[in-house]
Parts: sequence; structure tokens; C-alpha cells
Amino acid sequence: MNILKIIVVAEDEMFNGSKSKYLLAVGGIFIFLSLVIIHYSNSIISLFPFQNNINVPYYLISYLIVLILGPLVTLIASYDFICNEIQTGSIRYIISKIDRTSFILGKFLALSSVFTVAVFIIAIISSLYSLFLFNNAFELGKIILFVVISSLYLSCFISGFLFISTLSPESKTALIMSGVFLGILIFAFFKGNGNFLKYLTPYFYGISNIELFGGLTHKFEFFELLKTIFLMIVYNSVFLSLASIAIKRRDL
Amino acid sequence: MDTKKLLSIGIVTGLIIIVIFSYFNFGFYDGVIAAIIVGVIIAREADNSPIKYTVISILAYNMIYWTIMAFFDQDMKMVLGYENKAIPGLFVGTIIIMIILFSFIGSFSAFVVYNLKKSK
Amino acid sequence: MTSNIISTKGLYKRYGSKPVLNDVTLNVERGDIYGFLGQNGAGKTTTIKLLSGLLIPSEGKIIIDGMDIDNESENIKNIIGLVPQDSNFYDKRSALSHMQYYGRLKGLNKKDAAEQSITLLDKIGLKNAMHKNIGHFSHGMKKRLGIAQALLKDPKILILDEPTNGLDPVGIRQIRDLLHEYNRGDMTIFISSHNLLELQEICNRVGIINNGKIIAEDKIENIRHLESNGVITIGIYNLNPKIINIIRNLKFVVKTELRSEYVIDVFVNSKKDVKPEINKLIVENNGQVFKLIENSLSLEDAFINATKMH
Repeated sequence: MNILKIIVVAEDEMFNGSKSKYLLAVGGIFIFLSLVIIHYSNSIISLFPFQNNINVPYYLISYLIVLILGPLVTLIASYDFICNEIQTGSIRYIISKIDRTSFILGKFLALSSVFTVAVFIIAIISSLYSLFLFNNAFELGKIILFVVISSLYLSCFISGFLFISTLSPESKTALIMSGVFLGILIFAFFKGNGNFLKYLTPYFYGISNIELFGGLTHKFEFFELLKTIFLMIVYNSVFLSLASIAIKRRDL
Repeated sequence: MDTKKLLSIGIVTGLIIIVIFSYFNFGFYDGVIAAIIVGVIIAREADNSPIKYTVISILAYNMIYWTIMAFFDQDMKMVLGYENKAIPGLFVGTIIIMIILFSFIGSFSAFVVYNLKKSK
Repeated sequence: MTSNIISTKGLYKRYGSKPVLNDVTLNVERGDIYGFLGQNGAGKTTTIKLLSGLLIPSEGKIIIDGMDIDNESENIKNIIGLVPQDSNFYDKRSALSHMQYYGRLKGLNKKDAAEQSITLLDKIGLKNAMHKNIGHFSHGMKKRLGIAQALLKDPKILILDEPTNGLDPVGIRQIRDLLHEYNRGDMTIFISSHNLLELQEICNRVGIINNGKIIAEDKIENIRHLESNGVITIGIYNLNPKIINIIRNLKFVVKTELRSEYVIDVFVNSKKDVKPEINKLIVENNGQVFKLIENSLSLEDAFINATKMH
């Protein structure tokens, strides 16, 4: 594993790669959709049982957007990131120069970076709405928390979809299996409360932190936050390791 | 492996697991575990299209199991015999959704095992 | 330091139960231009992919420049330049953009990657097209780009899988001259090809693979003597099975091939001139010889003979 080569792969994927425009477009669409929902959230605020409905909780709305829309958007961005390269054969020019793990990590870094920037912009949009419409103070701490938790949450899905992409022989299979995987995660979330299944789904980690952004009870436990951050990092590591094992076993 | 043999193994294995697990009362999870095991077995034995065979096997053994249960299980007979048809309708609908979910889970495990096996 | 820069020992590759490579043991010496010959499906591309780390062997060892590929694959990738058989680049990227990316993957910084890319594209004849998207490139141009990217950072070993496929004679000549130039600078070149005539011009050593096994490996002049070193074409007015059997039973005759009712090709393996002995034997058996010509075998004939024998 070579950090410099990981950065080269990631940088190329984001700015010069054949899919860089696609990736940046998906990130842009995510930001745009979030902006539209935040903007019109005033109209739908009555649907939400918030305790304090004088100020619209923009951070919470943004976080819900990330929780619900984020996995779908990451699926669209990442489902064929690896299998497309293998299918076309362009991977041979890359793997003859760098090790396979660096290649996977470079792709992961590219996707995570794009979505980290996207959630950062969403957080800034929320702050600006909160600042200008309700004169709320600019909360840097909340923005940082939002970016860290949201990007870790989305990268859990990215690592899962990259693993599926590594296994898939073609893009169509990757898309279908990624959809199936997402369905299984949703099922595990609804069924997993109170048992081990909840740890298998990033939705659980995302929901655990909802209180930080003005949820129903406004309770905040620092230990719980650290625990979910740690578990999300472990989740990412597991799927990235699986993807690395899968690509090492694969004939190119 | 021959298609008929593969499907027979999948269906029989699934039935055995689901019957055994139902005695231990895992509830919903007996179907999940059966689906995963059937997916793994079919993926290991199939030469191609493991997902297709897994889905067919899961649908088949679940249909067989729930049909038998409908005829012989007293609780199920009671639910299906309700005057208000909404209740049996909801029950049957839930079972169908569960079976679809099991086939998702089984097909995913078959996909992972088959592609890891193929890449070796 | 061993003189072998590439050596494989007991290399096997199986897909399921189907063996593709069967105990492949080859040795490439430093500074060689090593030609790797084989029919379609013999295992050439599989061997090349194993050497470059694109495939994982089922069994066996691969040692490149003293390094075991199992433990030091990253270091090995730094000294190898690979030209794979299929040139699959990104259609919507320019040649220069590709080269810069590959240069950076090889460990060059941005400035050096850019400089080397332009130099190599110029050398390979693609300078005018370097800003064009690959989607607009011809097959030959893509092949040249494949060679250019392999030459980034001056690798010690250049591995080429059918590099002249689809190139016109001018392009083939250019590639040949380029390979000679780099070989003079001590680069070891491992090249697989069907174009046997081309390999005769380029290579100094040859390995022949058939059905996943190396059946011959030697200097090019010795390979021509493989199994047989010449063919004598004999025309006999009353050619019959008895005369054919008598010729076949001679100890220096490798095989015979009937060309027509009166003409037979006799493949011989002998250092001395055997035409008088054959002529004498035919005449003693009442054969009426009207033609007796000797031709030396080309590498192609040697290759075809060798692969037919095994």
C-alpha cells in the first residue's frame, strides 16, 4: 500500500478521470436537491413533530436529507467505479504500475472526498439559511460535527458499493446487487433494533446521531457519539478489506 | 452441476433448515439463515447463474413450507379463517414480502460467494 | 548476481480444473530480446499476465531481477513496463493526459511526468495527436500509445504482448527500431508475437510454448535446428510407398510430407550434406529422381514443426 499512489489515483479520479465529470455532477445534483429541500422546508415543517417550531431546524433537515437521499446518491456514483475499469480492460495499465489495494483505496478516497465536500456545502447552506432567516449564530462546531458524521455515514455506503463493484463482472450486475444490498440494509435497520443486526447497517449509526442536530429530545451523549464514529470507521475498514481481498483474488 | 440437481439441493436444504429452525423458534431469522445458507451452497456448486437458481430455490421452498403450514398449523388456519378478510390478506401479504426479502438476502450471499469462488 | 532477469519455475495456472499453463519454466537473460512464440491459446498472454502481476499463479515461482513476485510485487512493478495485448484506454481522455497519469502512478512528479510523456509521445510518433481524445485514435495509434506508456521511467524490463498486431509495415519497422534502440541501452525485452518473421528480425532468444508447456527455449540460430534443420525436396517419377518408407527409415530423417504424386519433402536433422546418401538409396531402389533441392528452415517452419511434434 502506497499513500502517494493512493492520492494520485484519487486526484486523477476527481479531476481528470473519465468519470470525474459524472462524479462531480452527481455531487452537484445532491447539493442542488438538498438546497431545494432546505429552501422549501418551511412549507413542509408541519409534518415534523419538532418541539421548537419557531426556528426551522435546518441542520436537522439537512441531516435527514443526508440520511435518506445520501445512500441513493452514493449508489449512483459508485456502483460501477471498479467493475467498469475491469470490464473495459483499462485497469491493466494501472495495476501493472501500482498494487491493487492502493487502487481500491484511491477510488474510495476520491468518492469520499467528493461527498465530504458535498456535505460541507450542504452544512454551509443550512448555516446560511439559519443565519439570515432566523438570525442564529454561526455554529462552527455543529458544521464540523455535521461534516464528520455525514461523510463517515456516506463512506460506509461507498465502501459497501465498492466491494460489490469489485465482485461484479459487469455494470448491470453491480447496479442490481447494489440495489439489493441497499434493500437488505434498510430491512436490517427496521428489524435490527434490540439485536446485533443494527450494527450491520449504517442507517443505525446515522439515526443514533440525530439528536446532535436538534432531534426530538435534544439529548447529547459524547460517549455515544464517539462509539458511533468508531463503529463507522470499523464498518468502512471491514468493507474496504473485503474489497481489497476480492480484487487481489481477481484475474485481470 | 446439472440444473435439476442444483435446484433440488437448494429446495431440500432450505426446507430442512427452515423446519429445524422453526422448532427453535428464531422467528423471522430462520428464513434469513436458510436463505443465506442456500445461497452459499448454490453458489459453491453452480457453474453459472447462481443468483437465478438461488431465487428460484428460495421462492420454491418458501411456497412449499407456507402452503404446508396453511394446511396443518392451527394458528395459521385461525388467521386465514378470519371473517374480516383484511387480516388474512395482510398476513399473506406480509409473508410474500418476507419471501421476497429472503430471496434478496439469499441472492446477495450467492453473488458474493460465487464471485469470490470464480476469482480464485 | 544471476544473469537471468526473469525466471519462472514450475508455473501452473488453472481455471477451475482446466489447466492453462502446465509447469512453465523459462529463463530470460539480462539484455535479451526474448521472443515468446505460440499458437492461439497456447498460454502466451496468460504467461505475460502472470509476469506482470495481472494474474495470480495457481502454483510456481516467478523471480524478476532477483525479487520474488509473491513478496515484492510493488518493487517489481517499478522496473517493468507492460504493453498488454488489448489497448483499452479511456475514450474521452487525451493521449497526453493518459501518459501523465501513468507517469505519476510510476512515481514521477507532475513536472517529470509531463516532460517524459511529451518526449515519449514524440518518439513514438504521436506528438501531433497528443491532445486528441483516444476515441479518435486508430488501432495503430493506440498500440503506439500502449508502448509509450510502458516506456515511462525507463523500465529495466519491457514486456510486450503482440505489440505489432494491426500495425502497418512502417509502424512495425518503427517499433522494431525502437526496441533495438532501447535494448542497446540494456533494457531486457520480452515480446510475444504471432509474427514470426518479425521476431526473427528482432529477437536473439526464443521460447516456444504449446498447450501450456515450454517446448523449446534457446538462441534463435539454435531454434531453427529444432527437430530438423533443413528440408530436402525430392521429385521421383515412380514415387511409391516402398521408396517413401525407405527414406523415412533413415536415421537423420525427422519426417516426410507428400507434396504431390511425384514430389516429397524430407525434413532432416544432420550437420553434414545428406543429399548424396538419399539420392544413392533411391537409385538403388529403382527410383527415378528428377529433382533434389535443399532449403533451410525458417523460424516459422521450426515453430510449426515443434508445435506439431508436441
